[in-house]
Amino acid sequence: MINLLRKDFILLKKSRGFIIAVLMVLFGAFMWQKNNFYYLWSILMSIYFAMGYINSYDHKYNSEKIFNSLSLKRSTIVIAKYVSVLVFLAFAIGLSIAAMYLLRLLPVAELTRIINLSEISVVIILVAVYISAYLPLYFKLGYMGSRWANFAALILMFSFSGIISSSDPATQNFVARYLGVFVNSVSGNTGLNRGLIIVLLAVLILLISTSASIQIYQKKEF
Amino acid sequence: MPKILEVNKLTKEYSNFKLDSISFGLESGHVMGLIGPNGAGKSTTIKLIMNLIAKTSGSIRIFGKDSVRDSKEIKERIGFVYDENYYYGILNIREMEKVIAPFYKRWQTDTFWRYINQFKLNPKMAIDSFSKGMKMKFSLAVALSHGADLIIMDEPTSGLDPVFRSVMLDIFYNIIQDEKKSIFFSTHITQDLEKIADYITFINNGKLIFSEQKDQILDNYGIVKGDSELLDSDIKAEFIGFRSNAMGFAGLTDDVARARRILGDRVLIEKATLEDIMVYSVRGNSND
Repeated sequence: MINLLRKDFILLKKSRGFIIAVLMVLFGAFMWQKNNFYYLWSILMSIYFAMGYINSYDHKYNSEKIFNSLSLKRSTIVIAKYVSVLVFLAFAIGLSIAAMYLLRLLPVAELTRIINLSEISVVIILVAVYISAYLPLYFKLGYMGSRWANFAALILMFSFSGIISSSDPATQNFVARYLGVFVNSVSGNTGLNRGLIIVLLAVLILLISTSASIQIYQKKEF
Repeated sequence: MPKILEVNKLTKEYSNFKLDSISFGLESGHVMGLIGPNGAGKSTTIKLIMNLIAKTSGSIRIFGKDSVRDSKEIKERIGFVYDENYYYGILNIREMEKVIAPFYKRWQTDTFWRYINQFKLNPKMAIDSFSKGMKMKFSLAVALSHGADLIIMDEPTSGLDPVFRSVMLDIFYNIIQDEKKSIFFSTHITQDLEKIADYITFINNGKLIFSEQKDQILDNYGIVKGDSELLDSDIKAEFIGFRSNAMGFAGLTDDVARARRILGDRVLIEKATLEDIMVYSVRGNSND
């Protein structure tokens, strides 16, 4: 598992994807001060680029044939893909928080806010839903066959992050009615417990998706 | 001697192709060549052995273990070389070693770099910038650097120049000297097999034609040449395949002694090469 994660990060370091992803995170950390939509958007995009680059290299070199010829269980290969995204998410969140603390040092009054745990939990569930929707299709259809699904999942999450971050009263009213947990989380009124519930929900979604991906990948032929 | 690889009634069905109940075995310390024309089922057989595709029926045992149930344990002891480069071409050799080495418990860094130097591969160059032959050399270096007991290769010598093919055959020869390791490889270049293989497995159109000791095959098979007027239907039936024209005929027999008994000194009987056996078997009978 660790070896597969190391492989992803060696690949990422060699690609433009890593630079783009880091720039996205830094941009989001900066724009967070004005509207948290940009933060959610930038984290999603950074995951999209990082995962997209790694998967495109796996596709280009047909490297799944190599990894399935090594002493690895197929389930390990699947789980490693999910964990790899989550590790990158943790890296992106950590980097963005570090950037926010650095921005506080700048003599600009607006740049003082730091993202809190509830808000991070929303980022986590957005990414969890995104990769939970995309990765089973990736394992079923391969990189080329699932590109449209990847993009569609991103747009869906992009729209969702736009809705829950909206300052428009009508939209907020709609969100409060149908997605109260999320909006409360974003506005920071609910505290740690709600954040934990959301993270647990994210874990559940990821487990269901991982299980589906393993079922699919066990039957895959190379 | 224990069988390192046992394939029993192996079948794989696709909508347009069937690998049909093939069986063969390979003992420790030997080299087996897998031959057959394009589309015969060579790569399918290798993929089944590597558990990259699921079999329809039959069984494969490697090191006495089931190839599906014990796949993880088995693959630790297999070195593989495929017909194309599947390593990350954007990485150089050093970086690729960092990726691949941790997957093997018995990775031998010194052996790997000895082969890289022997093959004159620049460790700083991206694998994408290598020629096909260099990529094959790199794959071979990986396959030989983790103490594998069975080396499985799909067309490893295609695209390689004769000099490196000769080096490769010497390496294979050295590998099997301890009589614990075995090599199983498919190839179109039958001359390589005549030099190195102990056993030949020949498949055509998904069916096993034979899997026998090479020396026995070369002793039993022969090319019979004679005048066309000898070719009546009884004589034709003696051949696996033949070609005839106004000048005469040439036919492949798998029983040289019988052909000599029947045709006597009316014909010339020459030793058949593996290429002859493959060509005549696949083409059958043809009149030019």
